[in-house]
Amino acid sequence: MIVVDRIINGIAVCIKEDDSIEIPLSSITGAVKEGSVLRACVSSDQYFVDTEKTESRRESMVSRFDRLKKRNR
Amino acid sequence: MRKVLSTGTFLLLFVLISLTGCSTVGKAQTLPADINQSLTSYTESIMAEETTNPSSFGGEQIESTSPEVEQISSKEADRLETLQVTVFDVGQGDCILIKIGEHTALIDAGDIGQEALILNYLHDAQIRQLDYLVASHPHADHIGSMSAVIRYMDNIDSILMPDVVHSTATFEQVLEAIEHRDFPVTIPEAGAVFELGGASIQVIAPNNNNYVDLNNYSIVLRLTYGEVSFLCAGDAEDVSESDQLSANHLLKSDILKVAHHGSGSSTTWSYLERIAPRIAVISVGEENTYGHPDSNVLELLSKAGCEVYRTDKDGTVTFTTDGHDITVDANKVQMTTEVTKAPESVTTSETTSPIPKTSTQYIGNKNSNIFHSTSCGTLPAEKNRTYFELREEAISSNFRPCKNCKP
Repeated sequence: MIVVDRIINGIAVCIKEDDSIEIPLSSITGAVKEGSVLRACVSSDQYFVDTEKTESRRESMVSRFDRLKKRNR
Repeated sequence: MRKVLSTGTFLLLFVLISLTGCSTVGKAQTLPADINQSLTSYTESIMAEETTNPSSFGGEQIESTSPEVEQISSKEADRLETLQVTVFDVGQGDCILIKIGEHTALIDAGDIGQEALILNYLHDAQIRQLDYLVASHPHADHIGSMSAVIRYMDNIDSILMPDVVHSTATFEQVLEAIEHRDFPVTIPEAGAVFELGGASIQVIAPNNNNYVDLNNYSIVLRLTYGEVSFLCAGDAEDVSESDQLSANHLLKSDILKVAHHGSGSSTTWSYLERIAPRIAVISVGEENTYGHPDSNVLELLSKAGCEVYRTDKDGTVTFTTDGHDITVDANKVQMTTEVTKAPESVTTSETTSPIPKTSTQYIGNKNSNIFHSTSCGTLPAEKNRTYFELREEAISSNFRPCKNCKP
């Protein structure tokens, strides 16, 4: 899975497994933001924002973080 | 380079600020003496946390009542222990260690692939316990090697995180490590004060919980020790800076860890004016592709009369203070990536060990066939690495140089 970690000066710094890669925003189709899950197009250097996976991944992280916070109460 | 800067030369500024009601130095408070535990394994650390450290984190957070706190006299400051703040050269990322006596706090843990640098230092300094580990915000250049630090530590009294999540594998790995080690997490509120030996750390930001950019969730901390103060601004951008100014926090600090690697999106003049630092340190990667530090920020720092240190030029920068004077050590010395065997006491496979000893000069990514210098901010994961002693060796193996670090 490729997830946008941060966006700096037109470059999306992404985390792919345990590595970081840089993708120009011009190579990404869709409303990209921090946390966007990207899908790579096999035939080109283009990437697409996977809206569904972006949302489900975020929800999963929110739930996990909430569990951690509750544990400390 | 080693410099001693006396506070005397800044007396006039200090007096002026005092007259305007902006001068406040946190009074030192002491921690329980039994906080330093000699834990030797993961199992023991968990047991010890349950039995000998009942106060854990909660007991150390003090609500800030007023910015007006009793000022420590010079005589008192003379009796204080030495406090050291080390801003590591971790390339394009942040990692800052605060040490006073046996008390330690680590703010951020560099980018992905910086485990060796950080764990080597912690190992050499015999630091296996932290009073606080601060994940300023969840970007990978700040928490990239944090899961390794969490797994390496025998004990962490509290992990401070902002109340925001990220979707990256890096953030997930940090959560996994915390869950596994069962270290307590706290979401600090602006205004809260934490003790660290004889020093105090006040939370300056975040002051809001509906920012768009993760940078603005950065935990901004003001460390005070005797008459000396240090503002660690994370990656807070102008939006957060504006909120900090509006919240009327005491920002005046002798040393500023410039926000967001010197990006032009941070360090507005009004913010800098309020801090009035005499020393600034920028944690930034050599020849990074983001144009950090921004030339306008450097101009502003110069206009403010700051002495500027940069990790890309000065390497790891260490500030030492007795609460009165500040000594700066800035040596462009590569931190070793050669480590040292794992401590014998660490037996669990879930605990991170330092990286094996090697004469590595270059690190290749087996997936991309790109090779990096050992200090590059975008090193591949351990499992994807191959090591080269010579550049020619990497080239002849059909590896191409990284465009970021240009090895």
